[in-house]
Amino acid sequence: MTDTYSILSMTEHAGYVWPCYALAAVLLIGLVVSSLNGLRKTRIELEQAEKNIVRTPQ
Amino acid sequence: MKMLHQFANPTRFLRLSTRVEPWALVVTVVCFALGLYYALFSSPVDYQQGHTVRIMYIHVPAAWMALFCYTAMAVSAAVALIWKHALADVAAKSTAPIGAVFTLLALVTGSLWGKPMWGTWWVWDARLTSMLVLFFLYLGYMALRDAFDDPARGARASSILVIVGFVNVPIIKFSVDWWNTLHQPSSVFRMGGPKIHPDMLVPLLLMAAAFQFYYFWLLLVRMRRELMAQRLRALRHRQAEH
Repeated sequence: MTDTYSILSMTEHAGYVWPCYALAAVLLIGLVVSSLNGLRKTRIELEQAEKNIVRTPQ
Repeated sequence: MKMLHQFANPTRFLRLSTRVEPWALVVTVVCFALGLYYALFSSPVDYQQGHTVRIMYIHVPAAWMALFCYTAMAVSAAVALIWKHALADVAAKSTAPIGAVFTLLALVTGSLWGKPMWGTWWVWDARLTSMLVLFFLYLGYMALRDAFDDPARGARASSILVIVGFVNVPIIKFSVDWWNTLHQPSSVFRMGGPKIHPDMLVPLLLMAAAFQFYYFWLLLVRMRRELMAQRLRALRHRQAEH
């Protein structure tokens, strides 16, 4: 088990290792957020459009 | 073949994906938690690379997924073109942004790993260059898809692009064997089995599983959204006709 200080400092390689993990978090979480946002928006618009279809006299 | 067409029905697909999605998400989170714990806290430092070896647990799974996603897109595009399989086309469209993100992640983390180990951020090496081409293929697919007023024509043109571009995948895979590259040859998927010590192989495979399930879960979410968007376009089109 690697000790905590050694992890955080990555023995002078912290400037290379931590940005990789940070970038992975930003990209992967960002893609999830944008996908779920898109899903929610589209669902709201679809419900609205289906209501309009019901109200329109045939 | 019959099973292929069973899943052409959006309703059946939506019913199945609603059931599968929560499980895929749970497995994704568990694999990420275990993978990150092993990658950061419970795996050894490399005697040559020191802690930079921990970049491997992000870089390698991302590169694997970049190739996997493009292959999935090419197969889906071919199925869509040959059998007019609507859901295959939705799968290809939904996969593209995910694959592009994995490719970008592989390129940047590779550069961050290359600076301390090779002494340079970038080199026009066969592996790195072909991965960069892969990234542009993803961007080109997404741009071409939206370049037409008629979504069907956009889908058709971009499907042809992704199939033609598939030639790049074996080039990436075998670039380290065909040319004299700075990038190291394969260490996991090779004749004679992995050359990596189990203490490092376990975190690597856990993170690879996490990336794989992440893709599978997000694909289902994005496909659901795309099917809704298609239904919305159809409703608006019908409204415009009245």
